[in-house]
Amino acid sequence: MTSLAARALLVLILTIFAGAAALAYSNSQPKKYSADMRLEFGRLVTPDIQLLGGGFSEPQMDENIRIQTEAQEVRSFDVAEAAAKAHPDLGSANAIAGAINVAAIRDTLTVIISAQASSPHRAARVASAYGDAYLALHQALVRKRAAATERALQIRYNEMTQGDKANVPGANIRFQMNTLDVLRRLGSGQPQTIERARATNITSSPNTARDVGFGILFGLVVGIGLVALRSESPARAAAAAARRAAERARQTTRSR
Amino acid sequence: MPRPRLLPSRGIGWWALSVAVALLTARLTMDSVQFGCAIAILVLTVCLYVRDRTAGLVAVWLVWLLVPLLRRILFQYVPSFGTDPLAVVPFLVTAAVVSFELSQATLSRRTRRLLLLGVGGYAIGLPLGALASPKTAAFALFAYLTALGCFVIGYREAEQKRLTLPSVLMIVTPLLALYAFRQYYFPLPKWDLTWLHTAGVTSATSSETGRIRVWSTLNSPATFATVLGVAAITLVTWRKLTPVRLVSIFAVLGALALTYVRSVWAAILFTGVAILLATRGGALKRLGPVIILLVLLAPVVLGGSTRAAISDRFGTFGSLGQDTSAQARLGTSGGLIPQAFATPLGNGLGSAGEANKLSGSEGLRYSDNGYLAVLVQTGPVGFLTIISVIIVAIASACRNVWRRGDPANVLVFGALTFLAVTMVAGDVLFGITGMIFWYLCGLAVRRRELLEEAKS
Repeated sequence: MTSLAARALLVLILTIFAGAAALAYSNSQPKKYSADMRLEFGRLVTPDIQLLGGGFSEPQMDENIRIQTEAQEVRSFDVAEAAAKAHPDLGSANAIAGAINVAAIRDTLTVIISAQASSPHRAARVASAYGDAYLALHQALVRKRAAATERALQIRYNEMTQGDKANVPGANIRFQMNTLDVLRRLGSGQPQTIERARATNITSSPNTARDVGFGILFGLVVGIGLVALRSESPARAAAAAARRAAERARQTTRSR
Repeated sequence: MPRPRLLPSRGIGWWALSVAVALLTARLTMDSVQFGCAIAILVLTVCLYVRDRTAGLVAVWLVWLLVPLLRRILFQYVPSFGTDPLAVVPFLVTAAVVSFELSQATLSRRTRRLLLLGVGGYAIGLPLGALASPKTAAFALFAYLTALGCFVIGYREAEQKRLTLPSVLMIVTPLLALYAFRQYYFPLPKWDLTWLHTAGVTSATSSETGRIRVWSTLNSPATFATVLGVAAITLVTWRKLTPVRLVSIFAVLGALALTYVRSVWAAILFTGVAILLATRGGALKRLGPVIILLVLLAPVVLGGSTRAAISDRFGTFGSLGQDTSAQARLGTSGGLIPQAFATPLGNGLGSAGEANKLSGSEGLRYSDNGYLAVLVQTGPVGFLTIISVIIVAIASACRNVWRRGDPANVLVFGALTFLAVTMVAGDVLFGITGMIFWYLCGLAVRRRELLEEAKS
């Protein structure tokens, strides 16, 4: 076997070894399943509430900044705590937070809540529980603020003279209180769930095909390097030198 | 080169090492594909270097030029969260090779002093940097010293006819220029688009509507433009001007135009004049044909709107007083110089430049001035120490080309002048440009020593 062929064989052995190691590692990992829930933050409030009156103008900001900010709110540990409280069987708040990944999708107003768990059903439950906890927290906050503002307006309305109450100033405040009352009762309706979490049997981790593919690729790279590091055995080096000398001699003879 | 004892070349030792490395690579790939890739590149480069110095050095420069693109592609298809290990790979392979080079090099006493001065200059900024953010300061010190270490690579190569970096640049940068044209004239590939959105590249919009400033396989238009500048100088000054080389020069200069980086355009023009003066007009026979062909062909090759956009950008040189970018740079420098001189030990390593990104603090990441970045980080004492090493290297390059204007001397002088001028508008001493800069300094110093030895 020539020196080059021997080296190629060594590279092949190391490549296969790395691929096999990746396969073994990958198969030894516990299987994990994931489930996604999608939320849409298209507006501040739903169109029906917007119909009740002004004051709901959409913020003028870069949509990517807005959705990243919303994602930060979804990512809050408070949400994991609320989910753990509502579903004690899903584990502690830390466990839920560790199983959840929140990502904002660029150039959209959509946030994905992904949950990983040991079974498809559990992954879907964790994602749903987390998403629902977020929606509940978010709506509770909206209602609380609407109620506080409504109370303040009510006090102001009560302090008005009968004349003011019967005219434009009173009508304005009644109009605002009416909208706030609907907001307090129904919430803003935003964000909307555009996809509920579903259980699927596709494993998210380990990705054996990917692990083995990259294992083989990187094994090949490492193999080339390591075989380059290997020096020839004295016998093989002597044989190669003899071959080169014979070749040179043949060329010299031919040229004469 | 003599093989390091830690790296077995045969027998059970080699097999044990190979099995361990293959297992480690497979295991790290499970954690993160980027991690596995980083280890694979590191192992390949170091092993190639141990087997054949030239092959190893070529691999190092290729890693610097191509790994940013690899990072983007992997990020697109197998995204990872947190710090990307591939970002550190070019520094690690360079540090590994530099440590091997240091163990092999026989440096003159003067050169040892120069290197110690450089190390000392950076070390001045270490205490305050470590107090503010130890991680950032450590990375900054590692990055700057790795670049400084390339001085030794250049120093050792000075006696060889084939210089690795110029050879790599001559072959690879025209290909990078082709990729840059693809970025400019066609919709951006997915991985570049994602990179543009996620990496916070602040200056990627070109003067031409709907187009970007190209960055090819590197991380930003400014870095790419600086590398193209060095490549253009190499192509024009170093080897024989063949038709293929002329095409390469036009590709490189065309891509340089599409970066819209004015400081590099200005530095190229300045360098051309400096080379003509230093060679006492001798370089005109190389520069002349290139300039004439460029003037004749550029209007034909570039499209109407691109030509207009480049002309507009070039025209802003005449109105820098009203230019937002120029005024912002002047404002930063004006405000920071007195402040930097008031702190003798500087604000600490990592308080400015790219390393500052790690700290997440309110540092001066985009210092827009390499000299200022050094001054802010190491204070006036460190600044003078480091600059004195640079001055010695540039003076050596100048003296070499004045005494003997052979192509290698002209190349080193031209590229060093170009980088020294570009440093006024960018943090050249960090990353690939820093590696190139100190490599050229090593070449210049050693070539001067060789000239003096030959003379004596």
